[in-house]
Amino acid sequence: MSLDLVTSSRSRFSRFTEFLIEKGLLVFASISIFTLGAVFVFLLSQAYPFFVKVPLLDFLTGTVWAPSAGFFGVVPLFVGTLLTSIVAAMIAIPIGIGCTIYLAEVAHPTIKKYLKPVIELLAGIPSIVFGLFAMLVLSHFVQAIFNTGTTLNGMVGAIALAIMMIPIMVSISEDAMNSVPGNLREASMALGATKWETIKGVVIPASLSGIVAAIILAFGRAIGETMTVLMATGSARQLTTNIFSPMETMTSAIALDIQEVARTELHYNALFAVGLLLFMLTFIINLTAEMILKKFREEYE
Amino acid sequence: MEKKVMYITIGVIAILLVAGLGAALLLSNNSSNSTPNIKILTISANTSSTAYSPLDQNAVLEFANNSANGGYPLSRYLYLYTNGNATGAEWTWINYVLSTSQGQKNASDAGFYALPADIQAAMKAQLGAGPGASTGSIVESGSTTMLEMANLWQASFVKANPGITVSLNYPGSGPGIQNLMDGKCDIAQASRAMKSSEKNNMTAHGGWPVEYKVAVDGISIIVNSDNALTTMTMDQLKQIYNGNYTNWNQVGGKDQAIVLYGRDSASGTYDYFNQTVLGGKLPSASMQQFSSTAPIVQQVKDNKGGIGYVGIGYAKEATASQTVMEGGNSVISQIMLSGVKLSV
Repeated sequence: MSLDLVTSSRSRFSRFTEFLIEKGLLVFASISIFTLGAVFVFLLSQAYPFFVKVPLLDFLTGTVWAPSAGFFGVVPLFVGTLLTSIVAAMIAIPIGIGCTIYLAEVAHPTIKKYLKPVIELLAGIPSIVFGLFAMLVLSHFVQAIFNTGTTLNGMVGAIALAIMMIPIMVSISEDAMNSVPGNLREASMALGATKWETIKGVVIPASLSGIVAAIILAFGRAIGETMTVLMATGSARQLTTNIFSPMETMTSAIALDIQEVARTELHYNALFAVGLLLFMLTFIINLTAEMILKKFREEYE
Repeated sequence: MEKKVMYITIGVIAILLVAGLGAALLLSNNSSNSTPNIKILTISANTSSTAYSPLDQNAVLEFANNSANGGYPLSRYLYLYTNGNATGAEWTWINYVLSTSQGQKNASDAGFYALPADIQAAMKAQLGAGPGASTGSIVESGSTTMLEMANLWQASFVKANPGITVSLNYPGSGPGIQNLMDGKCDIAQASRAMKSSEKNNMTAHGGWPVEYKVAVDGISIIVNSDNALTTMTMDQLKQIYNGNYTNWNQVGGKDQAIVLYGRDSASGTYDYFNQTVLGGKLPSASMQQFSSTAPIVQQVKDNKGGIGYVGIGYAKEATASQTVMEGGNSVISQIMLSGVKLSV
């Protein structure tokens, strides 16, 4: 029996090293899970004193955010976040999907070789640089084109966010499109479809869940973006549905206010409550994207 | 090969087009921004009193000294706070700040007004005889309105007292006072007086706040130079900032939406403005809030319907550069041109 060979001293040593390595890697993996749990617990513990003093309903439905005067309604910030992210998604989706289709299906391989790194370069630009660009340059363009009342408004933030969303969308949905089996495309062409008809009728539906996952992930990034919207949207804590007026997002409210609060103030705990809301929002979005991606991966296995 | 050349040419042309378009738009924006700028409004306490400008030193000092005398209604003192009596390096610093030829001159170079003689004497008396020290380190924290002035103080003070290191930071008046209480700084600079709740909090923790008035400021209300208005009453200012008036034609200007700019809640200027103009209420939620003064000036320059409130130093600097460019002959430009470099 092979068991006799396994019990030799050399094998015992290598089994022990194997065991150590496996357990060591398990420790590293658990550190990441532990960190996630620790962040959540930390947020909860710092936000708890706030929820004790201010009713949850007041927080979630209040329409005035003026913590220095005792108003802790998160609705203006929540609407600001959603509005800028949704408008950014509306701008980024056509451009992103178009770019993906071009890269995956239409582009000549040489062009693809140069274009893909350029798009990935866009993803590497720090968000503060985008914020500066949006505040100093983009705001004037937007004011000239849309004739808005103010230079800093939600539209400037949305456009800057859209530019940041595109590379994420492109890389993930390109993976999805590339993994559509070649024989599906060839079968479509054999039936007499043109290239565009193939893309529209075969490739996109086949990679749809990957594309949707890419959009959702990019949306999650847009919601969590801080520096860009802080500098671009004008920091007016008003409840508005007009994208062309100044507004404030949850992320920039936290970033601006945390510099000035003392640990003992209710304002401090309120910021953690907003952070908790943001954390749960992005958590749900990322979880949804993961579930959809998993579904897409299973289809071809 | 042909296709490749074609693609490359198209790419190059596209890039040139975009660059050219961008440059053209930018240049046209820049040239149109260099002529319209900001102007400072004169403010009257009510419709029957005289309107004063914050550039009028007598009017500003008049009101700061005793509001019953009239004068410019938005005048205020700027403060330094220490925890307990100033000794050692702190004493040397505050002595410098209160001296006529040095600290007070720096204050007027930064655009504020030096203390009137009687207040200056009272502050010096409060400071006492010392002793000072020639070595040590000072951390000063607080108001962004006092930023330029503090930088000027630091620059010349450190030359005269090389053994003392001075470090400054500007999180805003509120956080600066909090830092003094927590012991994170030696001196707090504030553009508003310490609230009684803050004083009580400090004494409860075993501290003892000592207040020094160090300069006089007149908060300037600035509007875009495209705006026809030159004067305003305190009540109109209040109605504009609490959102009751939304269009300039409601106060006698042209048909243009009012765009509000102001400071954020860390700022002493914000607290002072809410107290004095809004009667303790909050400004309209549509007011865009900034953590320092320079962006307010920039935004009012860029937006025809804009209105903002800034310390007199920033307003003077912004309007002075206009006057110099237009070849004007105002007193302000002569003061500014006297060789003082301001750091923003």
